[in-house]
Amino acid sequence: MDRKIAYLGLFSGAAILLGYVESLIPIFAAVPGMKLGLANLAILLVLYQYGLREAVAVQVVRILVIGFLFGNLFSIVFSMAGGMLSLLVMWILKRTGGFSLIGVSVAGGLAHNIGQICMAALVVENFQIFYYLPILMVSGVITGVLIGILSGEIRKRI
Amino acid sequence: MKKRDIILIIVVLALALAGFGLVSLSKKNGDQLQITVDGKVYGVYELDENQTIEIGSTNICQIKDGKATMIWAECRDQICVHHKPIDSLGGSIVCLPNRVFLSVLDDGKEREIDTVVS
Amino acid sequence: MKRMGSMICCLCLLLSLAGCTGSKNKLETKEGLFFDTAISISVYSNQSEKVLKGSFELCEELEKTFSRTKEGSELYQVNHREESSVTLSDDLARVVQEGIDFYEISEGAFDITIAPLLELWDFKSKDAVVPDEELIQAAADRVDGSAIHLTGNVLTFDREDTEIDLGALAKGYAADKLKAYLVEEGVESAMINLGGNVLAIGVKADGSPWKVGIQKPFAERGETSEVLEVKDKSVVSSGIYERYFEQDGVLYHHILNPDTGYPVDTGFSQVTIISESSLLGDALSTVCLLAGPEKAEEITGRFPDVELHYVLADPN
Repeated sequence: MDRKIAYLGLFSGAAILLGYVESLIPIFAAVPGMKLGLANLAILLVLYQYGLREAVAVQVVRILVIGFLFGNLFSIVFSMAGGMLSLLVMWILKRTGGFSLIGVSVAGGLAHNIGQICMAALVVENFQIFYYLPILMVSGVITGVLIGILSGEIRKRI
Repeated sequence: MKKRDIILIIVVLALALAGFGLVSLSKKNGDQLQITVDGKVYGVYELDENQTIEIGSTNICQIKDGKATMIWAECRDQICVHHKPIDSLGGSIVCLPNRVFLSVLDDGKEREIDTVVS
Repeated sequence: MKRMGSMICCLCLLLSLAGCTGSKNKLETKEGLFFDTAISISVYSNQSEKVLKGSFELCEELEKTFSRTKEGSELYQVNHREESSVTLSDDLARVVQEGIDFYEISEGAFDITIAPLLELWDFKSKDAVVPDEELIQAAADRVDGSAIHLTGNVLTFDREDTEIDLGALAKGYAADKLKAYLVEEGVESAMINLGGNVLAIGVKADGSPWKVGIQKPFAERGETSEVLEVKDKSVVSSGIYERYFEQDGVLYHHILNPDTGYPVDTGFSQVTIISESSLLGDALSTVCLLAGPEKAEEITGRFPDVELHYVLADPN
């Protein structure tokens, strides 16, 4: 039990660190909402190693810490919307058993983007930002595949 | 990678492609008014939202029913205040003394007039 | 893993394809204040930022040559000369030559030595008033276009008190020069607007001609009386509505008769010249305004490919 908590702490730390690393990479800032989703790497691993409850815990810790460190209340709300939706979708897909890590990761990335954009549209009451959706879908697929491959490789090694 | 992964990816990409098509079709979206002061962009505003914009302490611009006018200017000649409203058909209003420019951003749409010789 | 790689390649291709739709050249416009007026230059180019910056640097340079009022400008120094002969830069010599040519063509009506009168009337000031009769007379006496002679780049003054104003020509010259610069930079489609001078380069990106509206005299700024479709042409308007004031019910405008020193009753309220060269258009528009309707047709007829449009003055 203690071992598990220690590991979850480690994963949370990794997720926060990855989120920070991602904020240092400026290439993906061209479209609002476009992200590498590196932090999802850690979440995905927790989901596969432990389960939904643990993944939710890590996700919440990650979002709160990142939000308090670098963001504000709004960014926390955005991230929560995206993060929880993403986790839910990934969990459902994982349970169906028909998808590999890559498919789950892609779906998670997409759900994250869609969740965020819906939240943003609600908050700013401007539905023009849905114009970004197709771009976010394509980028979500690409980063999702990459993250999926990466986490597959990592899973083999831990 | 499983077969379903690939199907998922293809479906999402197809949806995205359809989305691109939809967006480019419906890209009739509103014109924008750009305000520059002294050669620097002061702000960009939607022409289809009624609003009043204070430009520093020297000018006030009003956007109403898709038309932009300068409603107040702190200058002697008041030429900009007496300028015809500009709208989505293009054009610009200049306040020479305060170096303020209002111009409707080009969106590649066909215009009635590209420029006015005065 | 191999399939994976080709898959990613496909995705990248897709993304880059999607990006293509946004890279079409957009019309980029930059505005500024030069030559006593608001100017704007618009270009379709894949390096618009660079060429627009270069254009405005050129404007700054030309303003330092042609401004009569800016201390330190070349023209200012010529007007405040110590010797009776001065050597001009190529730019200034070219424009002064044009001024002397049109002094002859207009039989003295168009005179670049009008500076003393312009200074006296001061149309740019908000509270302009009609100057004293004697002062006008004294200033008019100083206006004498026959008292300057240009040989090569050397300008010789017969009189010490002669001062030159190139307001009627400098913008035309600047427009031509800007066009030459843009064309040299590979720009095929652009619109130069220096207030009264518009110079179109080529046609618009979609192949249609540029649409140039002509300001309706004495109407709201921006209200047009006519819209011309032009390609690769200069459109220059001059009119008595540009700078004027009213006193005791009389309208005093800035087109002055060099002999009497008073505004010319031309019969025109606006003249528009469509021509290849904006310098020629600038000169002709003022010359026509000074000459009146009858002579205007005759003078513009001497130049090939020049079109004259005008609005007659209200008889009241």
